[in-house]
Amino acid sequence: MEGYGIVSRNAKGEAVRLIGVNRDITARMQAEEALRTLNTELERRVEERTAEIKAINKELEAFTYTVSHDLRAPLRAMHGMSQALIEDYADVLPPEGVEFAQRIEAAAQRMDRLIQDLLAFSRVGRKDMRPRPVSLHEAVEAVLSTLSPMFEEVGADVAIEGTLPTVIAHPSTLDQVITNLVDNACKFVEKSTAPRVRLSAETRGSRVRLWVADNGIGIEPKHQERIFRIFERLHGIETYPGTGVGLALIKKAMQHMGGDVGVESEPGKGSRFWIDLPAVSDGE
Amino acid sequence: MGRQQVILVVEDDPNDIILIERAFRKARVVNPLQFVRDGDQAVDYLDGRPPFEDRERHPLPTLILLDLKLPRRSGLEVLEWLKAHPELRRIPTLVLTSSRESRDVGRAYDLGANSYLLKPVNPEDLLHIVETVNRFWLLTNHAPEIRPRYRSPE
Repeated sequence: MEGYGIVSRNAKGEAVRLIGVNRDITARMQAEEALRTLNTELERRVEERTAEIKAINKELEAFTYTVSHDLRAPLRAMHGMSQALIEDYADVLPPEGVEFAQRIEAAAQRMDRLIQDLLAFSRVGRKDMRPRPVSLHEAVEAVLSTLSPMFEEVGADVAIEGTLPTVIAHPSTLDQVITNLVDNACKFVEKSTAPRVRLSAETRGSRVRLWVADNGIGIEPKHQERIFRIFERLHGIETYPGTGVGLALIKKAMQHMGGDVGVESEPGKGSRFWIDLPAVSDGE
Repeated sequence: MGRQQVILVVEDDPNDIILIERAFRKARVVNPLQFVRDGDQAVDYLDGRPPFEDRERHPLPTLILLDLKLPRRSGLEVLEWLKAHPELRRIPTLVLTSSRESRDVGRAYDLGANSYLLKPVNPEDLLHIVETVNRFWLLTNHAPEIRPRYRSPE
């Protein structure tokens, strides 16, 4: 029950009468009770779900640990033993035997690369990726300087056009994205062509677009979506080596940084990959 | 000095044993290697317990290479025992493992590891590590004198 009342007074101000209403509020009390129960239940479920997610994360970490250590031990053996075989017994092995051993070694190396790429892929988004203002120019310059031995090896001509602005990103993740893009730009070219890569930026409203343009083999429009999926490859391992993780990692990383990635390309006319990132707004 | 300066390698993976032996041979390291295959054996060897009580055949090592993932007592447990030992704690102990987990690295240093090395996949990198260990820990570094006065209680 719930009651409301008004005291009515006489001329001297003495209370003489009480006028009031009493109401049955059972239904409302029940509704309120139900709401409280629901809230408690919701809180409990959120807690439960959080605990579940934490457990899954822990399991994933244990899984990653196993992948990186236990899977690599037999790999180390394959790699080491085949190389020992080539080095120590090359003079008693027929050429075909040496070739087989070399193939085992190359396969072990490829699998190691794959495991490392997968680990990198699984790490994106697991670590604390709090974005902050980053000079895109400095980030690109640092990546190019790290990759310069590779540029020399393949005779690549890589340069920045103009000045690149400041963006909001997670620094080490951004480095990884740029590294993968430039690495791809130098890799997917005709054997007879020296790679030529140009990096430039344009501001589009509140976003900055970084372009990575190459003179490579290009990508047919029908494949342009597929290439961002993990393990997707358009070429045989002997033509263009790779694990099919690089672009998938870029996509995942860009999504985690509130950005995006895409490509404009035609076969034989090179590719122009782009990434979009939030720009630093005025006053920041 | 008649006694040879041996290196104790605590390693359970038979393939890694072969590869480590080969890398030491290729690096022309003169020190003989002694292998033990789990953490308990490592402690028995260092403490001179049977079957390692003969110090002529199983001399105290001048350097220890220690894997972390071992059957029985783990590498970190061996390290904890060793670095708490009043005399043997002086023996330079290098962790050689595939674990790059920061809690393993941190714990190893906390317990007194003298160095932490990652097992590489590429055998050329392993050779490079062994050459570096030889040049620094065996040829450059001045080793401590170790005379165990007593055996630790079981």
